[in-house]
Amino acid sequence: MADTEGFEEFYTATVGRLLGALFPVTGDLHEAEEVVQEAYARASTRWARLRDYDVPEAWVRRVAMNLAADRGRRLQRQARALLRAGPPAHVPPASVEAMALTEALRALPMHQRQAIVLHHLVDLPVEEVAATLGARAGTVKSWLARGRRTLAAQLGDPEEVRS
Amino acid sequence: MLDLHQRLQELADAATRDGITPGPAHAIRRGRQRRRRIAAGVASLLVAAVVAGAAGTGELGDRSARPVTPATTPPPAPDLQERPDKPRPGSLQEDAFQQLTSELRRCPGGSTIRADLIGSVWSEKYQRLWMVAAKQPPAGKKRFCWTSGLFDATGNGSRWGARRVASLTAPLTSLGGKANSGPWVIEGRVAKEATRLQLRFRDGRAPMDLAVIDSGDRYPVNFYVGLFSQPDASFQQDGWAADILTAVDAAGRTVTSCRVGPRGDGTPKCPGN
Repeated sequence: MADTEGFEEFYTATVGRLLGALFPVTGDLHEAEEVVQEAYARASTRWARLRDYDVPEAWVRRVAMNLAADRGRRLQRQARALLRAGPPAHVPPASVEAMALTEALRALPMHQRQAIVLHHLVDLPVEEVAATLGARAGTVKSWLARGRRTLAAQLGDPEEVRS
Repeated sequence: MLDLHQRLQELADAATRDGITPGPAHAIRRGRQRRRRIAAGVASLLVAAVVAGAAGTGELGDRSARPVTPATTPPPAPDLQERPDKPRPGSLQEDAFQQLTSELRRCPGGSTIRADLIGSVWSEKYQRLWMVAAKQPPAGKKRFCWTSGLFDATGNGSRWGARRVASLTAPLTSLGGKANSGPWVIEGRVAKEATRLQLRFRDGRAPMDLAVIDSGDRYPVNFYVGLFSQPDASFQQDGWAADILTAVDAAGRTVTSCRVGPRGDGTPKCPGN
């Protein structure tokens, strides 16, 4: 089909990377899978135009990040009900250190978490992180600094968080 | 020492290894279902709007009979509703802005200068979104680039291409044309002091107020747009129906006026464009 020509290849080449970037943001693998699949579903309906973009993956990542933030806000509103039902099941992270990092990331406000992931995992420069999150570069720098400080304190290494 | 990148990468690798993605075919199916849901929602809203419009006809008729107040503030353009909100991810606005941003990469400065979304208006009548975006001039330059586009509800659009402002001395410029199977468009830039723009027609229909988009302090001019319909035959025989464009300031004084018709090649221009 002409409208989705090339979409399968794009999906296959990028979905793992995107899932990897969204997991630290959501802190829940199932949530990350859902957000990523929804972002690709939206991309598929616009693929005829997106495939001409320089980096279509950046569009999908941006949509996924925003979806994660939206869902995060919804989940906060539903927190009491979820607590009554017990903690959600999640896939255990790879190691004790990774589990600690997941917990520490969860304690950060969503925008700090997103900035940390986009800058330190996806390796986007501050300006691109700002464009992705719809914020100013100075604001992103502030989020990154605060996020790193909080992570360092949470992970018991207050002075030395290497970027 | 904590290596943030390395530890985040470990998390990402775990997600890639353990995560389950249903595949591209599922994403395509889900996208189609989403599009159908949105289309159904739009159809329901249209039905509701038609019913509400029919119910309120009497009240609207009374309102139009009231005397017109002096134009100390710009009256809203009929039909066109400004959308000042920030584009949401996956929205038509966001999609349109991406397309305009792509156009603006052709401007001097390339992608090093960020594109600004100046504004957008939605036409309920034509179900179209018109958007204008621009880039501030590079350091030391006075000219700036702007572009605009008209998009249907699915994001398909007509773009007029990145343009370089030749002169900022002209108080009013005008471009026009017809979108594919859509309305006729008149658009351009106008001096800051103009708060209202009125378009008069040659075929006797009532004058129309155009939507003025305030570009804020960062740009030296504002922008405007108007959408209208006319039989295609009238364009071929006599030029388009638009005739005279008049810009008025907040006190009701005419800032400038120019003729945008009758004959032309679909791109009528005010002097100075």
